[in-house]
Amino acid sequence: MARDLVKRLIELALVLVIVSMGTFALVDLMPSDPAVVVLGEGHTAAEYAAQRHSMGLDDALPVRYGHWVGDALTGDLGKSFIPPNSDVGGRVAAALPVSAELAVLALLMALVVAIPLAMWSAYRAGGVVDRAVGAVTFGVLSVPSFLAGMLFIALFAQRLGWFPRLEWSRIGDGLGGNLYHAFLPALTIALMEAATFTRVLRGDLITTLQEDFILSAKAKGMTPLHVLFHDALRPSSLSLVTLMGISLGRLIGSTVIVEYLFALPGMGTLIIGAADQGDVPMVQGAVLVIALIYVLVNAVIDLSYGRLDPRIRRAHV
Amino acid sequence: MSDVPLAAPRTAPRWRGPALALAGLAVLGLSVTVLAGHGWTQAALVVAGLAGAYTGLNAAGRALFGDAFDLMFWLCAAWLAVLVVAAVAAPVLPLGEHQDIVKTLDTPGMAVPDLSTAHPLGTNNFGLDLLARVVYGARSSLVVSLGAVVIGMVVGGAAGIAAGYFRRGADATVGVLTNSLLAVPPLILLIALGTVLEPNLRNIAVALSLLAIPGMVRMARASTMAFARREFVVAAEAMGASRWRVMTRELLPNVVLPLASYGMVMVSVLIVAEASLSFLGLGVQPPAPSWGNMIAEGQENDAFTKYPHIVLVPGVTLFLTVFAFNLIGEKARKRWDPRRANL
Amino acid sequence: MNDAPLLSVDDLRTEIRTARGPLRAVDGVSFTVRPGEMFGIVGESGSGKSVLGRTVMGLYTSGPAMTVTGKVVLDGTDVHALDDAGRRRLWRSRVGMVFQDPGTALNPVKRVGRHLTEAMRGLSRAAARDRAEELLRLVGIPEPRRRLRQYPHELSGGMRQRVVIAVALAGEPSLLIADEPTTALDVTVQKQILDLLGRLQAELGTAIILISHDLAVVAGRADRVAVMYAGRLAELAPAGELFDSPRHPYTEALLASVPRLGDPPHSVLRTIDGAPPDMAAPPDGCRFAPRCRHASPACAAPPEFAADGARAVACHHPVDLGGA
Repeated sequence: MARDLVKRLIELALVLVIVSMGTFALVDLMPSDPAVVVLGEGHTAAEYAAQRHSMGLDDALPVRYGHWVGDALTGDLGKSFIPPNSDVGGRVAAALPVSAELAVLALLMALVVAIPLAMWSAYRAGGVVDRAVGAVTFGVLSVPSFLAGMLFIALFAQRLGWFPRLEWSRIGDGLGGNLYHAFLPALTIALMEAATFTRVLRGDLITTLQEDFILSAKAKGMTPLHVLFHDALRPSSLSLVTLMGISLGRLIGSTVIVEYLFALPGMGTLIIGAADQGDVPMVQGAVLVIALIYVLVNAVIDLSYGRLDPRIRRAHV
Repeated sequence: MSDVPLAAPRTAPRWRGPALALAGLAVLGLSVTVLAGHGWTQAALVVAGLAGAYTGLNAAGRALFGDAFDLMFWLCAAWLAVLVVAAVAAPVLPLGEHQDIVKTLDTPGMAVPDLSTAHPLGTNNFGLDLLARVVYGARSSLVVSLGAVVIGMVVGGAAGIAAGYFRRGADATVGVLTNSLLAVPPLILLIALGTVLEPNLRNIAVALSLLAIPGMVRMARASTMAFARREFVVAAEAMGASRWRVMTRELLPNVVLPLASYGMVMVSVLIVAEASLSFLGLGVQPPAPSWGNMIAEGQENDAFTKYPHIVLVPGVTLFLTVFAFNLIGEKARKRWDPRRANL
Repeated sequence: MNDAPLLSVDDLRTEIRTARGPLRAVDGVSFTVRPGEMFGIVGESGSGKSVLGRTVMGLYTSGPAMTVTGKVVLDGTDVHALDDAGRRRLWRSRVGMVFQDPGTALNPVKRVGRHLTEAMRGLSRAAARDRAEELLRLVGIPEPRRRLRQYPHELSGGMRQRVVIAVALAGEPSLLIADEPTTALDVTVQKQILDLLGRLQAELGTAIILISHDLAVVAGRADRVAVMYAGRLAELAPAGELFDSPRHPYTEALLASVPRLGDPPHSVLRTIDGAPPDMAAPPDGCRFAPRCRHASPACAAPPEFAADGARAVACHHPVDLGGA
């Protein structure tokens, strides 16, 4: 088992190296000269040479990569193009909590909606509620998050005026205000996750509910609610954990696009703004940080899966 | 559980389906002609008419073709067929101007959809015809996503077959590369590429194909490993067939089918990805139309609140297309994967 | 022995709705079980014996997919007249169920202790644990304290079935329904489990309905045996009499298909020709008639389940008692 773990760690490290190389190579994929991007129009040859030197562009590729990774490992993600020389690491650090909060909030919302819906649908499979939930969730899966976000803004923020838009309030300035500002964007992100969770959990619950141990729990005189929560949900929640790992990529994507839509000061707004302006160092820093978090969270989910299922747990420890 | 209801035999008379369908269509017709402009009343009647027509046609279809008939499936197939035909034939269709602003200087901007005018779905703020833009948008959406699927199938399929057949080093290398692609969330990958690449259709298709490749690799690898142990492959090897021959003649034909069905599923994901990228201004560049950048127009100056059709026309088109692909994909999966049929 | 029945089942019928039409799994079954008795129900797979067991318990009741008629009275309580809460009370305290496959009857993510204690009411945690330990000891599980903390997959099949029995006994039921309790187990373990059931019946005075497809399982343990065929009872008799002198041709054929120690070597095992009827469209009249070597035109009418002293048989041409 320890050998397995070591093997997985080595692969994890390899993957991170390749991702960092790919991210680093973005500069060289640029159609224009980074030095020119920073200097703008009208510069002398000497200024140009100095700029290239200060950006380290006259070094060989492996040397530049070494510097970049070395700096990144010490927390220095370099300087952005626009505005020139602002600290990428600092801006990422400021934006990250906003995105993390939105993503976690959305995940919680999705679970709060999905678990009861899936349970009811599975418990009364084929009934009116089940069919309605099935149809609605299927429809929701076909609504891209940016479209849902635009509809929500138009309806809840503009027409009904229930929620603010294009504003953000940090947790530090009061939790109430923060949640009030985060609600609508988080709901937008949660929409598709809730639909996926409901559908998968329902299918899994239906299979679980046909198990003998459900019948034996009923024969013991346990209430339907007890059977659903204690006997059916636990085994089925295993697939929910796997599913969360699978949908994490989409969750990050939705968060990014919804932040941009609501103009919230998170990673999404940061990276999309930088991408629009061709600010490669900013994009590189953001991609590296997001990829790192994504890979690590996925690894944690992999491990927690084993923790949750006693049958697997014994095999691993 | 024990109390899963089972289908009860239908005993409704045969004429009820067509009658309901006709009534529904009549209500629908009335609502868009006589009641035009009555706001909520009209909207409610449109919905009621559609629901009636749908239920009726579905019942009629079942009476005619048996209980397996699913009207929704055929509607989705029809929608995709119309979309593809329109996209292919766009240059010869009598459509309004879709991207040259100079030609529409004297066309009213933000015209509301009205089936009786030359701009049935309205115009945007440059007076460009929305129907034409939606059709040309379909063109780029389909070209880009189908192109990406094909690239993904070729590259991912080749890598997957090689990994599954050679195993060892090739497998490990392909595995690490695939995992590296998967280590960046899809949209982030697209944004990163969008930062540095020229936003033309070819580059967008290549970028999107990176989303399709990992799945293709895994699928091709799994099928290859399953087939590589079968008798016909072992027999070919025993007869001295080269590895290349085994891979292309024996394995490839068996791997293509699952890859193609996965490609079908991927198309809708890629259409959404392209729309997202264009929505963010990193994909298809205006004034060239794409559903994503058309929806983005609604963000400017509260255009969506004042002129809902700016967003609703491309938005509904995008929704219907994704819905149709999803539904057909789901149906195909249920059909070919009986294990999941009851989910 | 008290002669007032613990359980009386009267004209029980179930109709399961399926895509192929209604399926009468149990079609007019009546019998009684006395307190402390071991009552065997034997039948081929598909004869409706499992559905019968579950319906008797009230696990199956009338619903959208099923119609249940007839009367089941357990300890003076009409099981099918109970509401959901009343039925749960019944299950918690009066009747327990042992399932066929202990591998699936226990929830894989719950510890053994949890299975035992969760249905206990009004006990402190410590008291519940002590009680659980006592139950495990009762069913012959060594090191009960340690077992309480284990997960089902860490136990052997036989141990798991003992746990299932302990769970069923938790409410000190007066009736235990054991549905094929040994079918999924190794042959050596089967005997241990059956011996355990016999011991529990003797020590605790619990009545047990032992359902099996295997005559050998109920032989020597059951006090009385009911033979079920195609949803109906074919024959009901005290175990010894049934095995010595079967009266229904189906019982006779069933017995003839079981090898016996007393048989001379190389004697040919007889099989029953034909297959059990399709329960969605059972034959009119006697359901065994198409496979019966005694069948006559009279068999086109359904035979009465006629009682004769302690025995009852549903046959127009019962086998002669001469053999006894």
